[in-house]
Amino acid sequence: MSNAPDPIYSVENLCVRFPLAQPFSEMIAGKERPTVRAVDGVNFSIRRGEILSLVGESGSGKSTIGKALLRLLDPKVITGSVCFEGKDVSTFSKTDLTTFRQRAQMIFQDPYQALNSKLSNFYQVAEPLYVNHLTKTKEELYERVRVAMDQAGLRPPESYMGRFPHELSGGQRQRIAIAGAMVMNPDFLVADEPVSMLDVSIRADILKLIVGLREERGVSCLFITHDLSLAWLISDRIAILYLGKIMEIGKAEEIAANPLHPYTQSLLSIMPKLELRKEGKRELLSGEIPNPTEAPKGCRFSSRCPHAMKRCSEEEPAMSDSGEGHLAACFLLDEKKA
Amino acid sequence: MALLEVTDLHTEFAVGKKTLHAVDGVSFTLEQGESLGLVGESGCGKTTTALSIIKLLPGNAQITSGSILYQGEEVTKKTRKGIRDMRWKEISIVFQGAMNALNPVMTIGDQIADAILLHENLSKEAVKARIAELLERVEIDRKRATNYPHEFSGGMRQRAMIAMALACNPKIIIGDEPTTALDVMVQAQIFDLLERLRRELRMAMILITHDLSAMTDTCDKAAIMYAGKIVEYVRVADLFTEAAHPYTRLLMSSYPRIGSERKMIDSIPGTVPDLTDPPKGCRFCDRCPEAMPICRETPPPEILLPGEHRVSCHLPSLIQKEGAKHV
Amino acid sequence: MITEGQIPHIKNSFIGSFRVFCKNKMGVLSLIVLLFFIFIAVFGQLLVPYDPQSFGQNGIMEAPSASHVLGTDEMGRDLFGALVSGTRTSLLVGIFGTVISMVVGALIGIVSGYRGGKIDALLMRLTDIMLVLPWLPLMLVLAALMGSSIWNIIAVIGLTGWAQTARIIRAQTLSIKERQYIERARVIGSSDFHIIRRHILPDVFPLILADAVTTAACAIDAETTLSFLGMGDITRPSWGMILHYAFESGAASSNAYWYLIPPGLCVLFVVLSFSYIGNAFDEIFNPRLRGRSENGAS
Repeated sequence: MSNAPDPIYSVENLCVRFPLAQPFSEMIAGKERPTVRAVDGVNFSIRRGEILSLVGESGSGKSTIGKALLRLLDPKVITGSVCFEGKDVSTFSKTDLTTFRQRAQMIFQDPYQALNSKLSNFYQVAEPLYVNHLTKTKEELYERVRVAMDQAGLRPPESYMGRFPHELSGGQRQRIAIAGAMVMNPDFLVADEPVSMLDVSIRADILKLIVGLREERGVSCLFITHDLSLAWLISDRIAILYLGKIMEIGKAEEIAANPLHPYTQSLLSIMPKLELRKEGKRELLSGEIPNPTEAPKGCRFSSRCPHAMKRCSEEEPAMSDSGEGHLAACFLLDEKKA
Repeated sequence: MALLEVTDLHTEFAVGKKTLHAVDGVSFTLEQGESLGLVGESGCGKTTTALSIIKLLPGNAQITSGSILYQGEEVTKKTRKGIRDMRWKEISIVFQGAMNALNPVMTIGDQIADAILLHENLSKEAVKARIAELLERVEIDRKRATNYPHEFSGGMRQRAMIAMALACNPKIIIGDEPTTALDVMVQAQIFDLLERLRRELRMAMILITHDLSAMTDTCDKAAIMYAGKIVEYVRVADLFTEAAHPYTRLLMSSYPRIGSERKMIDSIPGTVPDLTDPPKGCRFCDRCPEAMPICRETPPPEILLPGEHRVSCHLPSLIQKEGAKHV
Repeated sequence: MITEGQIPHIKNSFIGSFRVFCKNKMGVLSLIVLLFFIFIAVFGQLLVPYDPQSFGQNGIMEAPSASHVLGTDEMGRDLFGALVSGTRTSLLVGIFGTVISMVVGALIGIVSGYRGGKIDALLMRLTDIMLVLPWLPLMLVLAALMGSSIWNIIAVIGLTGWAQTARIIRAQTLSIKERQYIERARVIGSSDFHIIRRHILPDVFPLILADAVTTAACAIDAETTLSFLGMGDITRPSWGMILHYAFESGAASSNAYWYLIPPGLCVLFVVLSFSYIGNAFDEIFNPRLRGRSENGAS
């Protein structure tokens, strides 16, 4: 993966540990504060103009990775490296950070919460330009906001400017949020579940916008979702996360056609296919994703894996390459090869 | 005689000086052991339909006409007490986000016991045995009855709510978006559980969801609702191949079908019409790609197609279809 | 570089806010009441035919009459005159004492909540100390040290009354800080100052205003107490002082309603108008609430 041409992001051995509450007595005794590993040694890269999807259930650490990429987490909780165009984001100077903030943007899951309801739609879109002093005149600001809104499909833009987020539908709100991210012409976008709060009938429009940005402007994107079928639909590559680790990564078509990891296989089998399902085709997992504080030893999927062996709860499987950048971490693959 | 028979149900909300026609002429039947999916976008009257059945409507809402027959008895004419006796014992409901509706300072067991004792006069031991049985039905260890809600995961809390809905052996269970806000795998588990319970207990089920794809694994029949009306009523087995209404077809094409050809999904332009002043013709006509002049003027006729398939549409191809009957 | 004021459609432009304010009938009425009291405080002396401090030439405890509109007190002073000059003192103490409390409290609360960590711990311990200190002896000591001019009393009230505000504002700041739009503001490269000014302050402002109402009442009350204990500025009668003397002289038992009711009503009107103005401000800062007073429920 590291020899891929000109990655916009490369992430190596990223770990995020959040501190937990500690009893007062232990604090006095000087014991080290316990932590929970939300992300535990993740490696991947994103090529220029690529859409990479992170797929996982809640608690898998997918949003945390998105935040780490955008340097939104306290540097104290992060180890490993996150490099944006070859430079570690944690070493950014103040000026570096200012440029970085203009080049890497984010779209949030709930457009209602991500927009300040007290401010007009115009302000939501204009704010990035204003805080970064990117426009010199009022006219220029107005024009850029108008263009961004138009591109986000809010037409005519003038009719939305003076209104407030609560006066719009969910889809329109998400468009405002997208216009606010696109107004600075970023090169990279983190889209954190951008359609999961929207009605099915309008999801396609938002997805088309994201794909369109890549097609027209070469914007690279990290698409975070719990829905494997959406990831498959719009992305070039997919990474499947489970409890803070990547279980499988590869081309979207490959993952859908030939899933290697038992977790991916199970996720794939429960996706609705809108056709009559043959009996017993679903491979339902039992139980739920464990709390990261109680992650099982060895392979972290072993506690729910239908194919778990003795070895799985003792040692952790390494990522093994099955060709064309399709990697998975499972002992079953070693056996197949051997 | 059907277990539940809803005929031409109208439920209206008073919003300021206006009247919102949330449910506008809905009819369907439900046989014992059958499961029906009520599908539609938000604000199309699915939840109002369900709440009308057990008369759990908010104060500004009212059933204005139509009939709801439960085992031959008219629900709309029942007294308050009659309704209270029927709720939970005959028809129970699992609400959207119900797992957050558990009382945090009471054990799960005590909360289930409350639901049982409200309707039945049982001894302490009998209640305890019932709780253990219910928890095991929803695949929770019976020892965990003494746990508090915060010790349960989201999926287990939803299971506990289902156990509570089963507490009095109802004949119909209504699930109002029972898996929203749960993870995909847990969603699948809950649907699986509901499906299994329905078979084992011979219950009828009404599943309300905005997610067409979610119900296809669980339901026998689908009622696609749009703006207060059922636009299409079809067996799920026929849905994939026989979907006739333009809205249903558009809805179907707004889901990606993983594993088949990768092509962008469709969206449905526009928004649901204002139900305080619904269009006089077909309610979907503003968003319909196949709308004709007649669609704006007259409400569409209901067409009966072979195999309990009903569609409300003006499309000539449907009206002239072989075996089609007008109502 | 352009200033924020040049961005069109920014909601709280002065004229836009004023329009929203004007739609709230109770707010407008309250503003008129408050302006009336401020007018009295500034120009009231001109309306009073008697020197409020002179006594002896009138009868004592006289009921209202043509010569004394609100009657006289137990020393024969004209109560209307006392009430008018009391307006100035009470409003001065109420408004300025509150302003000082609010500025100090909001500043400490926001910095503490937004920054977190050591600064938060330090500032909150200071706040706790201020909260547990018995405020009356503290005020007495400070007033004794600084002398009993009205401005010193205002300073004392302001500097002892901020702790409660700081706590409330910190709690609100903590909750706002976790909202997603703050995260978005950071993603687009906003400075801390911008985030506080544009996203946090507007959200805590209604709370500051609501708190200011009670603080204003407390400030007026504190001034009365100080006055009563001999630390007040006895050259400036206040409403609280009138009420206090009324109780002292047994006005309640002798049915001297003219002695008790007018100052009581004044306090009530001022405090209520503060509160309704606070509600009206809330609508300016929170567009979602707009029109709720017109439609009833929505």
